Amino acid sequence: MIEATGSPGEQLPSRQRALFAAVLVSGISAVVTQVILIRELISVLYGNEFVVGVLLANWMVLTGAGSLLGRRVPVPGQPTRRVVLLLFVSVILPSATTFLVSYGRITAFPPGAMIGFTDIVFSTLVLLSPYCLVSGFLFTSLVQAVSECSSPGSPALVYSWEALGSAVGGLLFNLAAVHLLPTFTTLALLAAINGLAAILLALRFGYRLQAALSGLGVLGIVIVVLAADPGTVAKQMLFPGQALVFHADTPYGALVVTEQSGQKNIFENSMLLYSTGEPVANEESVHYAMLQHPAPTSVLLISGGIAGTPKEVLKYGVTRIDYVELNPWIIALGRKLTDALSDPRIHIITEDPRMFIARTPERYDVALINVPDPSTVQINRMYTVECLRKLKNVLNPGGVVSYGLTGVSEYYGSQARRLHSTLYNTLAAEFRNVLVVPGEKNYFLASDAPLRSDVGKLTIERGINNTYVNPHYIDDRSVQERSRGIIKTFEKTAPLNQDFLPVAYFHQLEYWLAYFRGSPWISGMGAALLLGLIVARTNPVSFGVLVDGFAASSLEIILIIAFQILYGYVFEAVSLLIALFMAGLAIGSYAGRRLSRAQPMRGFIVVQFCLVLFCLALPLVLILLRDAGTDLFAVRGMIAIMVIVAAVLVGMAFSLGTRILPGSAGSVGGTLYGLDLIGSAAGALLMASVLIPLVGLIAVSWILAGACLIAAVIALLNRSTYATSEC
Amino acid sequence: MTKRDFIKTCSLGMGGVACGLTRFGIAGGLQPLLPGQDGSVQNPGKWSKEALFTAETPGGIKCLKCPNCCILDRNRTGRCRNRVNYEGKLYSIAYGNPCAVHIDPIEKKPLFHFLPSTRAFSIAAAGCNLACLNCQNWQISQVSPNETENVDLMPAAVVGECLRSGCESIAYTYSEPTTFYEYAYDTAVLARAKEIKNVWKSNGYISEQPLRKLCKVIDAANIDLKSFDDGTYRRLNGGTLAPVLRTLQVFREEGVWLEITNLVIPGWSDDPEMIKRMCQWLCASGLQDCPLHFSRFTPLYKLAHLPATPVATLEAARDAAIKAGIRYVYIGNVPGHLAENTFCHHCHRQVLERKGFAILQNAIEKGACKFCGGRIPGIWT
Repeated sequence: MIEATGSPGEQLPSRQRALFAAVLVSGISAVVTQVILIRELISVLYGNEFVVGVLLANWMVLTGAGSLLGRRVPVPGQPTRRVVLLLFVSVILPSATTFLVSYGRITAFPPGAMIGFTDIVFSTLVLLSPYCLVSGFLFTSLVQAVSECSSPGSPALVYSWEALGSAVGGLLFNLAAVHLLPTFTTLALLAAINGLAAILLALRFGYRLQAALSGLGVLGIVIVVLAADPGTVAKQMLFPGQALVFHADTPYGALVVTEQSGQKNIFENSMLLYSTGEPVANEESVHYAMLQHPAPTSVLLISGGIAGTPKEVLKYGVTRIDYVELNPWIIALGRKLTDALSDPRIHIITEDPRMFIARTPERYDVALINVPDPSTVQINRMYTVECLRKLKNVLNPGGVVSYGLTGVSEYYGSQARRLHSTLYNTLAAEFRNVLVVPGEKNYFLASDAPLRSDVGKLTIERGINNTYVNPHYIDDRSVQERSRGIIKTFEKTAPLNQDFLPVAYFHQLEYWLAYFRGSPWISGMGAALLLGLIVARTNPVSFGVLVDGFAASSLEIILIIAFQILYGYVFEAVSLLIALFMAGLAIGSYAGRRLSRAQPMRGFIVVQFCLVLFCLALPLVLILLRDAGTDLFAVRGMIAIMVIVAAVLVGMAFSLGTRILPGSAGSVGGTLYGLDLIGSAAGALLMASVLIPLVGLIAVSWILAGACLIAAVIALLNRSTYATSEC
Repeated sequence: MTKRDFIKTCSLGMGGVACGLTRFGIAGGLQPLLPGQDGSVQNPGKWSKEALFTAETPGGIKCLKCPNCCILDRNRTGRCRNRVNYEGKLYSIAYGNPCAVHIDPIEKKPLFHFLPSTRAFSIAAAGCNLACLNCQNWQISQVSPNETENVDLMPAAVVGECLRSGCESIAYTYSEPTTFYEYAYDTAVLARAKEIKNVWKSNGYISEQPLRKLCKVIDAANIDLKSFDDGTYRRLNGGTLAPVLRTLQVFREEGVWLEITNLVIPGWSDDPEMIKRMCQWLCASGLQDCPLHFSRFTPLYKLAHLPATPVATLEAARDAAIKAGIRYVYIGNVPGHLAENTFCHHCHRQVLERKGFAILQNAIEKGACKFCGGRIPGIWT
C-alpha cells in the first residue's frame, strides 16, 4: 500500500523538480509521438477506425508490456540513471521510427499495394515496439525514481503528472504545431524537449556523461532535420517514379501532389483523390444526376470540386454551385494547381458538410455527394438517414441526390451487396424513387420525381456534349438491364444506415477485409485468449483498474465519435476533447490521492459504481443531445463535461488502486499502469474496430456498463480482504 | 511446473499459434473443399465434371491444365480453387454454374478486329490461377464456385441463351476461363455446331497441350500480357512470363485470331525499355499483325495507392510499339482518344472510327482498306 502525501504544487528540492519535469516531458513526448506515428501509419495504411483501433491497441499493449517489464526485469543501477538513459533514447526514437514508417512501407511491401489486416497488425507491432517498450519502461522507472526521492504516493503522482503532460502536449501539438510546423521539425522540437529533460536530470544527479550524450543526440537530430529534410525524403520514397510537387500533413490527412508525364495526382493518406484529365470520373459523378432534372439552376457539390466537376455542372447553365469541402488545404491546392474553381458562380465553403447542410438557407435542385466510400465513421455520417433527412430539407421539390459507391464490375459479392443494399434502402426511406446507374462506380440517384436510366439518350435530348457520358460509351439497354438486375439482388431487409448505428461503415469494413484471405477473427480469438489469461492473474483491484482502462479508451472513443456525429468534424474541437480527457485523468488521479485517505477500498468501489451509472446514462444523454439540435452551445459543453467526468472517475480509480495494493511503488505502479494500458488497448480495439460498427453507440454503452458492473461487484464482494490492507 | 502453470503455458502457446496462423494465411486454407453443392460421398455434385489433363503422382493428382501444376491430395483444392481431388479423381467444380452472365459489345473484351459491332454472350465461373494485385473481378476470381451465387446454365443452355439473345459469339471471360476449361470447351463445341463463334478472354496462363486442344474450337482470343518481366509477373500477378509468351505463339500457330492487351501500371509495367523489348519480341515472333491494346490503369482492389496511368505514357508506349513494327496499336480506357480508331497499316488512313463501343465510320470492305485495297488483318464478318 502506498501512502499519499504532498502535492505537485508544493516546494520541492531541485532534484525532485527535475524528476517531475521529466515526468511532464514523458507525457508530452508520448502523446505527440503517438499522434504523429499513428497519423503517419494511417497515411500509408488504410485509414479507417478499424486500423486506428489496431494501432492504438498495439501502442497500448506494447507500452503496457514495457511497464510490466520494468517491474519484473531486474535492471541494475539507480532508477534515475535509467530514466536519463531512457529519455536519451526517446530523443532519437520518435524521429527514427517516423522515418522508418515510409522506409519500411516501400521496402517490405509492393509499391502501391494495400497492406492486409494481419500484415498491419504484425508490422506495426514490430515498428512500434522500440518506442513503446521504452515509454512503458520509462513510466515504471519514473515511479521508482520519484519514490526514492522521498515522494510517496509516487504511482498516482507520476500518473497524474504524465496525464497532465499528455494534455499539454496534445493541446500544443494539435492546436499549434500541426498548423505551423512540418512533422520532422515538430519531432526535432520534441527531441530537444526530451534532451533538455534528460540533461537537466543528469546534471542534477551528477551524470555528466549522460548529459553530454543527450546534448549530442539533440544536436544530431536537429542537424539531420535541417540539412536532410527527412520529411520530403520520406514522402518521395512512397511515390517512386513520380515527382513530388507538394506535401503537407494537415489535420485532416497527409496531402501529397505528384506529377508524372504531365498528369498531376492528388493523394490523401496515400489514396488517390483525383488525377487531372479524368473525364470518366468527373462526368459520371455529375451527369447521371444532372440529366434527371429538367432545368437545374442551383447545385450543391459536396467534395470533389477540384477534380473538375464544376466545369461539368456548368454545362447545364446553372447560376449557382455551392461547393463544400472540409479540408481547406484541398481548396488551396485546387486553386494553385487547376482552374477548376475560377468561375464566379462557384461558391466555396470550407466546413463540415453535414453542418453546412443543417444551417444553409439555400435550396438546391441537385445535390452531388462526391465523398469517398463510407470507410470511416466520419464519412459514414454523409450516408445516414439523418443526413438524408436534412439533405431533403435543402432540396427544391423534385430535387435529385446522387451518391457514388465503388463499382463491382460483373458480380456482386455478398459484402458489396450488403453495403449497396443498405444505401439503397436508406435512400428509399426518404425518397420516393431510387435508381442505380452502374458504371466505373455505381451511382445511386434519389428523388421524389421520376428518374430515367436511359442516360445516353438524355444527353442527346438535353444537348449535353460529353467525352464519356454519351450514347457511344453508355449503352442504355445494357445500363437498364444491369440496373434492374442490380436492384433485384439487393436485400430488402438490409437495415438503414444511421448515425448511432453505422451499418454502412460496418459493411464497407467487411468489404475491405474480404480483399485478404485469412480471417482476422482468429487473431481476435488469440488476443482474447491472451487477455483472458491476463485477467485470470488479476486480483479484484487490479481487475477493476483493467476494466477502467477498457472503459477509459472506450468512453473517449464513444464521446469523440458522438461529438463528430452531432457536431461535425472540427479538428480543434476534437483535439480539445482529447486534451480534456487527459486533464481529467490528471485531476482524477490527484483527487484520488486526497480523498478516502482512511478507506481507499470504499472509495474504489464507489468510483466503480459511478462508472456503471455513467455508462448507463450515456445513451440517454446522447439521444437527448441528438434530438435537441446541434447548434446549441450546451451540446458542446455537455460533451466536454461528460469527457471530463469519465476521465476523472478513471483517474481516481487508478490512484485509489495504487493505495490499496501492497508492494513497492515501482511494482504496484508498473503493474497497474500496465493493466490500465492493456485494458485501454482492448477498449480501443474492440470498440473502434468491432463493436461500434457492429452494434452502434447505444448498445456499446450498455455493454460497457455491464463490464464495469462486473468489476464493481467483484470489488464489492472482496472489500473485506482489502480493507485489512488500508492505511 | 504446476498444473496451473502448464495450462497457462499451453493457452499462451495456443494464442500465439492462432495469431501466427492468421499471419501466414494457413487458417484460411485448412478447410477442405468438397466438390459440387451437396458434398455427398457418392455424388460429386451436379456442377462437377471429371477434369481433363491430369497425372497421378505419389503426392496426389497433378493438374496439368496450367503452369501451376498443382498436386492435389484428397479433398484438397488447387490454387485456382475449382479443381478438387475427390476420391482419388480430379474434378472441376466449375461446370454449368457460372456466376456472371452478361451480354457485352465485342469491343469490350477488347476485340477490335473481330466481328465489330456484334455482341458477345459472356460467361464466367469463379476461380483464377493467378492472383493479380489489381484484379478488376476479384470477387469472382479469388474465390471458388462454392463461394459465389451461381446460375444453373449447362453448356447446351448457354448456347440456347446465346441464340435467344441474338448474340454472334460466346465469350469465356471475366474471371479466368482456363480454370473452367471443361465447361468452356464443351460449350464451345456445341456453339460451333450452331455456327456461333467462341471468344477466349484470358491471362494466357495455360499449358500447351490443353491450349492446342482448345484452339480447335476457339475463334478469337484476347490475352493479357501483363508485363514483359518475370519478376513483375511474380510480384504483381503471382505467375511467370514464359508460359504466357508461349500461349501467344501457340495461338498464332493454330491460326486463332489473337489480340493482346497490356495494362500499363505506373511503377510496375510502364518502363519504356520493357515495353520496347516486349514489342520487339512480338514482332520477332510473327505477331506484328495482332492488335495490341495499351490499357489505362485505374487504382483498384489491392493496388489502391497508385495514380492512374498518364495518357502521355500510353501514347509513348503506342509510339514505341508502332516503331517496333506492331501494325495496329490501340489505347484503351481513355474515352475520345484518337488511338481508339483503326488506321490502315499500308496507307495510314483511318479506316474505322470508333467511339466507345460504336463504329461511326467503316472504310473496310471485305477485309480490305477502301482507300488503298490493302488487307486489314482480322475477322470482319
